[in-house]
Amino acid sequence: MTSFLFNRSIRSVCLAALCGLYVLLLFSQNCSLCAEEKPSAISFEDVTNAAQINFQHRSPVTVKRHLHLMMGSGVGWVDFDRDGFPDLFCAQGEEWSTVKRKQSHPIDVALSNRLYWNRRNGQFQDVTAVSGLTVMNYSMGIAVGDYNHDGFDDLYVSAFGRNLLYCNQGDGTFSQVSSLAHVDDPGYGASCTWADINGDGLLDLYVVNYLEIDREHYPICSRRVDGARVYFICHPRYVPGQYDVVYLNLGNGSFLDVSQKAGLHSEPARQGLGVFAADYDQDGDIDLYIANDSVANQLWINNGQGVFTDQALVAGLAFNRSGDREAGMGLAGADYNGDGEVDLFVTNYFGETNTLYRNEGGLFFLDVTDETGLAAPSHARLGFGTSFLDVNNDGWEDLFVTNGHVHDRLSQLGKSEPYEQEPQLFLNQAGTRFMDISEQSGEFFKTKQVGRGCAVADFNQDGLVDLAVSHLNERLVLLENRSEQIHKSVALQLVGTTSNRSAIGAVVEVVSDSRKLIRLRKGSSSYLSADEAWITCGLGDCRSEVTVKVRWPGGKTENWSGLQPGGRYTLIEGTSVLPDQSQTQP
Amino acid sequence: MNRLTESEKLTSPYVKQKRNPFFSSGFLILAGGCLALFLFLLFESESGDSSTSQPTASEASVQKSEKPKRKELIAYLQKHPEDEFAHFQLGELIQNRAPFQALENFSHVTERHPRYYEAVEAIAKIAQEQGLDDRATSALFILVREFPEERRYQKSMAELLFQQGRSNRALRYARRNIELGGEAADDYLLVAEILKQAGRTLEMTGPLKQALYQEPGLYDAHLNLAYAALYSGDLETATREAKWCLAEKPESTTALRYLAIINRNQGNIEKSISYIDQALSTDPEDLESLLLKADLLIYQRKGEQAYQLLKPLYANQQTDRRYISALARAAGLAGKREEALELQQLNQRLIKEEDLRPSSLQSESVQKRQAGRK
Repeated sequence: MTSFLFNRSIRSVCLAALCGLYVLLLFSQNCSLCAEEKPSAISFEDVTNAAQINFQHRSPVTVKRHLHLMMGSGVGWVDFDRDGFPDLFCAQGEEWSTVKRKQSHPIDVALSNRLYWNRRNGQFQDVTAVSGLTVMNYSMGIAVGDYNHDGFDDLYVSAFGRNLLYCNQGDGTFSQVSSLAHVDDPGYGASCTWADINGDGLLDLYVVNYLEIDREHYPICSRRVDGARVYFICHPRYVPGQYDVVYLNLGNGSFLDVSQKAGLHSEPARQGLGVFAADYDQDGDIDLYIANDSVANQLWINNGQGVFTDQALVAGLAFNRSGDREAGMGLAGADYNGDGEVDLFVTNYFGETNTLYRNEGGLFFLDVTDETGLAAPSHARLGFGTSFLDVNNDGWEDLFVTNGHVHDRLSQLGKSEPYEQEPQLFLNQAGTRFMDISEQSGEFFKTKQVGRGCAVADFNQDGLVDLAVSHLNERLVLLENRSEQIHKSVALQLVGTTSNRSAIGAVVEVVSDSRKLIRLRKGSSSYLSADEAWITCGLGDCRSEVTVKVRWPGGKTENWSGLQPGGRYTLIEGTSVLPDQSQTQP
Repeated sequence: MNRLTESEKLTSPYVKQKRNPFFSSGFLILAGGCLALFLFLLFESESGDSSTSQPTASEASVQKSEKPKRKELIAYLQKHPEDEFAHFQLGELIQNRAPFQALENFSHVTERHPRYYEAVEAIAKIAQEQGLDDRATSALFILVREFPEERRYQKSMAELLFQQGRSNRALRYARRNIELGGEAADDYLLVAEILKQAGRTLEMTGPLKQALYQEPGLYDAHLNLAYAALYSGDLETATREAKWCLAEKPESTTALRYLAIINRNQGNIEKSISYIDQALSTDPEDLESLLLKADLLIYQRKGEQAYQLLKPLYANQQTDRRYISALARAAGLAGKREEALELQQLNQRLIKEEDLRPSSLQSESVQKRQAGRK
């Protein structure tokens, strides 16, 4: 009897254990299903107020709808004090009527570009006045780079009017050296980027110019609607474009305008807005892809000496798959499908698609927008800023797009094209397709805005990349990435010694387990904007140490091994033989 | 669907004769002819013989009866070229057989004459039929301005402008037609098709749903709805509508193509290819299907196959930019870089030619203003 009871109790225990195991199995299966079906683990929170950022962009429309007032300004991350935490630079607009007034009025900081110092506790402090960055103009694009090799990142700001170069003094202040350095181009500057175009180890400047207009020669466009004259911003295709500018860094604090010699005048000027610099033909020098508004895009291929020829036509990058030119605004570049090549994403006009060009190698690209699921979500949007960023550290570069129209009164023409539009976030599904996860990613993505620039940084060093988004005539928004941290990242800062100190143009290969992840050190990004210098690379399922190969500008490569997931490393050119010298910040 | 039915009825000469009896000298001859025709038809129907030659015989009879009247009117007009009513009558009489001459006669009817607007309406109809778009537009514009509440003129104007590709203006009239009470399915379908032409695909869904509410089985509305849903990314609706169309017309290459595009956009490349192969088996020369097939091959990095598919079409399609672009992509992928470049340059030239045409993107007024001026 005892034995029977004992056996029975053993059987009961076994049965219970089996049941428990089954429930556990079921639970784990359910969880894995949940994980697959719930991309809502991605979440961005608007922390602008909590971070004490109160930047309000000023660009009120005029009755006559002056065009430049609709184009907005960029945003850039710059670690101006070298504390490892990125600070935030916000470019400011300007009222049409301010120009006359400002000569007789003292400069109001609220109407100036602003610099916010990252206090390393999730809050920022406005240091514009003390840093010497107060200015009254219509600022547009931002490029961040250490052009004079003093270890401190400098700022170049393009403008509707004369562009500005701010030299970082290293003591928390900047001095404006635009005219001294001969980089104060008076054109209508849009995106700009630092890049070493002639391989001399110095950062040169590429400035995209938009239209041949200034305050003295300004086209005003209108139509008669129901008997009344209604003003609209002019269509850029019917306003002459302006030549882009290349400034060669002479190494003595000044630059030389070599635009013509560099070949930029070999074809008519175009209406440029975006730029993305990378070595597209993998010959060791920096090439430039330019997004032009409603005319063919350009791909300036460098001969290594800083002389360019436009090869966009043969590379398949001038037009979309239908052979149409699109209204190129912002640009993002990344290896979205993990094949080791830099692919390109261009934001375009309402009714067009944003266009994803897959790099096939051999300087040939294919428009794969439809196949990757990016066409339909962009038909009813006018895209501006865009960034590739790995929001969940799974090792695949996701895509952010900020949207907003340039016409605010299309309803008067009977058109249903909203002025304010929701931003979008697309999750990269293992390099094959993008899934629109905007609605599940936070309130910000449900809010209609007139988006313009955007820039990526891990501002709080939590291992997840965050976003700053600029809006036209609206407040700037800081988005903290609060996604579930399933995967870890590794953060890398590159320091050039023989190549440019900012290492702009370097390519990083992070090798983990079975994957090789390519990341770029960009000179600028998106639309008018600049990402943080640190490269945050999501590692996916990798839990063990990784190897990093850096291809420095110029082609020299170095390897670092033993880098831990979750670590932050500064990799100095020429030091890979001493891996223990790499600085580790837990 | 025949969207011209209403306007054709409106401009029928026989309808107008009933409304407006004539009292000219030729009227008796015409009446005699009609009487003869009536008796002839009556006799034939009573005999129960309905051979196929009957309509021809009756037409001949009418023509025969018109002839003396025509001659008489022509003779009369030679003596009285200023007689607007005689011009009107002659125009009505000959507009089916000699439309250009009729147009000339109707043009003699001036604003002072009580039949002026009928003449304008007849001009609009003839001009539309003969492809004289400007003439038709100006005639319809007179009617629209004079009778702003007349729906039929709004609709005709919309149709005409739509045919001319002047979508923005066409849309205004098509919408006015609906405001004035046009509630038929084809009224809404017209709006949707104009929106499609204008590239405002996202706005098509509303009028298409209205059209289907009025006429649930309207094939064109279902097909357009599939297109609009596909464009806006509503792939569920697009699939449903395309499949409905395919069930109605199993040979529809358009429906098959839409299903191919839906699958492509969902990442189902193989399934997409299978749909497009079905479309091509129905119509091997359908350019849209061939372009899509080539696109799919290019995505799969089968550049040479895509090139071989497209290259034979070059002679007939060398001015189609989509074709040229697809061939350029295929050539580039297949390593024919020189040819790819030449094709892209050809595309560029075609764009320049397009740019010479007037565009709605251009402002009606561009002023150069100085700073600070209000």
